[in-house]
Formats: sequence, C-alpha cells, structure tokens
Amino acid sequence: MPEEPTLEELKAANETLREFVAVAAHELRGPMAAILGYASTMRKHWDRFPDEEKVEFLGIIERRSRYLSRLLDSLLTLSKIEAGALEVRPEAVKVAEAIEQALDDVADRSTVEVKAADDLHVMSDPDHLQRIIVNYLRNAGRYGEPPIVVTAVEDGDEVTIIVADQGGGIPEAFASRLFDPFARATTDDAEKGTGLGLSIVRGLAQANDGEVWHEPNEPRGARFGVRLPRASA
Amino acid sequence: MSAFRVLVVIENDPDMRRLIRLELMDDPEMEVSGEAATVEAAIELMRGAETGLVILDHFLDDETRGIDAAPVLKAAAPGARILLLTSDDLAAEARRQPAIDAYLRKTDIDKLLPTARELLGLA
Repeated sequence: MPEEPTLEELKAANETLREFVAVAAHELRGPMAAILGYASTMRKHWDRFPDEEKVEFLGIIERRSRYLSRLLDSLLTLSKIEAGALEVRPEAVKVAEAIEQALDDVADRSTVEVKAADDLHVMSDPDHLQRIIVNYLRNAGRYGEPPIVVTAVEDGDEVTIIVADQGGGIPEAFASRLFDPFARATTDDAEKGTGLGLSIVRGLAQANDGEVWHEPNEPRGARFGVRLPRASA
Repeated sequence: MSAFRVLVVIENDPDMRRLIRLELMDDPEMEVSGEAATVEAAIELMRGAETGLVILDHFLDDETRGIDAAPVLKAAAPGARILLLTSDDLAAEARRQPAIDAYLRKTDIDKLLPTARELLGLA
C-alpha cells in the first residue's frame, strides 16, 4: 500500500497548485484583455475606422481567441495528466510510420531528414507518440533552424527518438525549466506557443513508461529526446 | 495648447500597444510619444522630455515587474504620473506602492482615456 503523504508534502503540493493556477490565470487574461479591448473599441468607434482596419481588428480577435482555445485544451490535457486520469491505450507502433504521420502535421517537411529503421516498434499509445513527435518538430521549426534531423535507434529494451535542429540552442539558464508548465525563454515566445507543450510531452511520455530530455546539439542547436519501451512487431 | 507627452511602457504585446494608442488618439491634448518594452528603454525615451504620464504594464520584458519598477520611473521623471495598466488583479499591491498614481485593469480599457485625463488634470 502506498505511503500517505506527509503534511509538508501536501502543503508543498498545494503551493505548487496555487502557483500553477495563478500563472494559468495570467496566461488567460492577456489574450482575453486584447479580445475585449478590440471588441469594445470597434463597438464604440464603429464609424471612425475604415473597413480594412475593422477587418484587421477582427483578425486580432480571431487570432487571440484561437490561442485561448488552444491554451484551454492544453490546460485540460495537462490537468488530466497531473491527475493520473489520462487514458493510455498502448500498442506496438511502428516508429518510422509515426514519424511520417507527425511530419504530415508539420509544415515544410523538405527541411527534415529522417533516420529510422523500418522494423523499429515502440509500445505506446499511438496518439501520444504522435503528439510528442509533432511537438518536438514544431518547436524545432519555431525556435531552431534547418536542417532538422529525426533519428530513432534501438537501445536495449527501449527505443530512443531524437529531434535535432541547427538553431541557436536553448539558453543555459532556461534549460532546467524547459519541461515545466508555462516555461518560455522570453516573453517574445508568448505568440508562438502556449508554454505547455513540453510539459504535456513529458506527461505523455511518463504515462507511457517513457522519459524525455533535452541536450545541446553539436556543433549547434538543440536535441530533444524521448525514450519508450521497445515492442516487437 | 501643446499636447501632454504620454509614454507607453508595456509587455511585449503589440496588440495591446496599438489598442492603447487607439483609445487615446481622439484626445487632442495627449500625444503618445513613445513605446518601450523595458524600464531601461523607457527611461532612455523620457530623457530630456517632459513626460506627463507613464502607462505601465506589470509583466515586462526581462522579468521586471511594473510595481517594482514604478519608483525607478518616478525618480527618472519626477513630474510624471504613473498609471499601472495590467491584466491581473493587483489592486492591493498597487495601493501599497506610493509611486503608482492609479491602477487600471486591461479589461477596463474603456476607462483608460478618462483615467488618463484625470491624472493629467484635464478632467
């Protein structure tokens, strides 16, 4: 039977949850303020703005609303992971196929090179594996530089998948927080992603008995890895 | 009558910067004279200028917090009034910081123009 958590552990967990809710609320309020503001300004001064400008304002409202929607989806996924309520349906997944499917979801695959043996399989929920690889590829596209190289190799009873890019790499001070919720290297990143992608990736990997990590790429760039149990075909 | 100088200091959100300009553009007695993403850049902008009002966000670039930066801005431009404009509920914290003259949430952007006019003695 698992040990009951101590009072100190419960207090620490409560504090972590409180901090998470505070940061999540801040992340939701920013786009909400922009949406409300532009809607209100348009309503007040409808006749003052030319049609082209009104279309631009509607574009801002749409973009910020879509971002909010993505953020809410990510928050719900993360809360399911944290609560241990994520449904996991493991099966033998062909790694090369999973990478190809992930590439279909990511723009400009001409910049991506894949090195994966055809007969390599992992035991994982296929949707979770897909989401992990897509996230790594998107991050490499957003923050790194091509060529992006995806490798998958057998490693004993496990399979290691690495997504490497040739960009500027991850700032050292930021590296230890990479997989934490709402971790971003700069506030410039706010428009690029929700800041939850890598924490979801970590949660998905752990739910599938795997692990994730980051390491610098040589001579430059970043390498993001996931290790999952190997399966036979 | 010459226009008052209004400086916008805001986190890295160009949509909000534009919105603030839109809210203030109808007032002939105000001029948005500059925008900055950091307190350091803002102080540089205010150098040699008569800044009447600083509109200050709380979450700024380089992890500076607006409430902590307010005294620094006040020291750099003693004649300027400081309006903290933020998306978060920081009313109590803003009240405790004497360098902040007024506090407004971004969701109340409707009140930006009247609040700015009041701070500048134009109301």
